[in-house]
Amino acid sequence: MSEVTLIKGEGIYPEPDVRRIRPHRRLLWKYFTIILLLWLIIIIIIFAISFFIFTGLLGLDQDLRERLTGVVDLFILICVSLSSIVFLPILIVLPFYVKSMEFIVHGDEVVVKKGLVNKTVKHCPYRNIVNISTTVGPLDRIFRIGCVNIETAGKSGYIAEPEEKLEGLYLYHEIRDYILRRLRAYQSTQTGPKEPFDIPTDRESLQRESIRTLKEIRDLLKERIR
Amino acid sequence: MILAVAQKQEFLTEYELEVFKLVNEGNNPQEIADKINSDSRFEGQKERRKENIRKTRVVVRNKIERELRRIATTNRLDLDLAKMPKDTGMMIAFDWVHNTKVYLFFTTEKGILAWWEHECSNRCEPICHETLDLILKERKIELPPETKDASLLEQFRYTVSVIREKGE
Repeated sequence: MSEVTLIKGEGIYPEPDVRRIRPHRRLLWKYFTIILLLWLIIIIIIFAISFFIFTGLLGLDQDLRERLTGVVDLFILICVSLSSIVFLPILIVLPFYVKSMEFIVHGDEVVVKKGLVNKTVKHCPYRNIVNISTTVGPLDRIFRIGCVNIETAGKSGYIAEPEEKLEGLYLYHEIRDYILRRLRAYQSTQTGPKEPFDIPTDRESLQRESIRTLKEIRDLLKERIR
Repeated sequence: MILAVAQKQEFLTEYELEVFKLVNEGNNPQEIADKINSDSRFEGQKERRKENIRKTRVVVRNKIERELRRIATTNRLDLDLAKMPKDTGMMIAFDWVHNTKVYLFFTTEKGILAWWEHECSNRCEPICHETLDLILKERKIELPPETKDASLLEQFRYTVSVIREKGE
C-alpha cells in the first residue's frame, strides 16, 4: 500500500477523443454461467425422467426389465449428446460474440456495435433519447457489472425491450451519468428562442469556447506582428 | 487541487526500488547487478546476478501494476488494459465524471501520482509544474525546446508519449 496524490487541477478539461467502450470480460463469465446452469437443469430433468421410468419398470419381470433398462440408458445417452451438441458450440462462439461488442457514447449519438454473423451497428442520436435506465440482475451483482438501457422516441409497437442496451459495463453508473449530462446539455440548447450565434449554455463548454477564441486571437496577432 | 498528501511508497522494498530506478536510467541487468553488489546499502546480502535482476524486474512490474490498478479502481477510473504500456510504471485511465484522461505515475519519491488531463489555471499551475518536473527527473526525460514553450498539457502529453515509447 502507498499514499496517493490526486491532481485534478482547476483549469479546463480538454475534449477527449472518441472513446470505444468494450464490455468487461466478466460479461463472458456471466453468459458462461447462464449456459452452464441451463445445461445442468436439462441434464437433471433427463435423469429425473429416466429415474421415474426406471422405478416404473421395477414392477415388471426381470427379462423385460433388463431390455427396457438398456433402452432407458440409450435414451439418457441420446438426450445428453443432443444437449451437448446444442450447448458446446454456443460456449465456443460466446467469447467472439462478446469481443465483437463495442459502444461509443462520445459525439452526438450513442453507437452500439454487436454481432458476429450479422453485424449490427445502431446509431441513437441524443435528440431521440427519451429514457435512460440501468439494470443489474442477480448474476450482474455477483460479477459486479451492469447494463445501461436507452429508450428512444422512435420505438414502435408495444416492445418492452429498450432500444439499445450497453451490456457488461463495470462503470455503468458513471457512463449513465455521462449520457444524462450530455442529454441535459443538449436539451438545454434546444429550449428557448434561437440566438443569432451558437452560444453554449453549460459552463464547461462556455469556458472551452472562450479559450478557443482567445487562442485564435493570439495566433492572428502573432501573424500580424511578423 | 491536491486531495491527499503523499508519503514515500511502502509496497516495494529498498532493493526493488533501486532496481526500478536503475532500469529507468537505462541500465541492462548485468550493469544493475554490478551496481547493487557494490552498493553499501546491500552489503552483507547475497550476491545478485543478472537472472536475479530479471526476476526482480518482473516482481516490481507486477507489484506496481497491481497498485496502480487498485488506485484506478478506488477512484472509479476506466482502464483500457489492452493499450497499457508495460514496464513503464505508468497507467492511462479515463474518468467519466470529468470526461478526461487520467495518467497514473509511480514515482520513487512521492509514491503514486494521478494527474487528470486539463489546461492549467494560475492556481494549479505550480503544483502541476512540480509534478511534471518530478516525473521528468525520475524518468530522465529531457523536454525538447519547442515543447518547453508549449502549455503544461502539451508537455505532459509529450512526456507520456516518451514513457510509452520506452515501454514498447
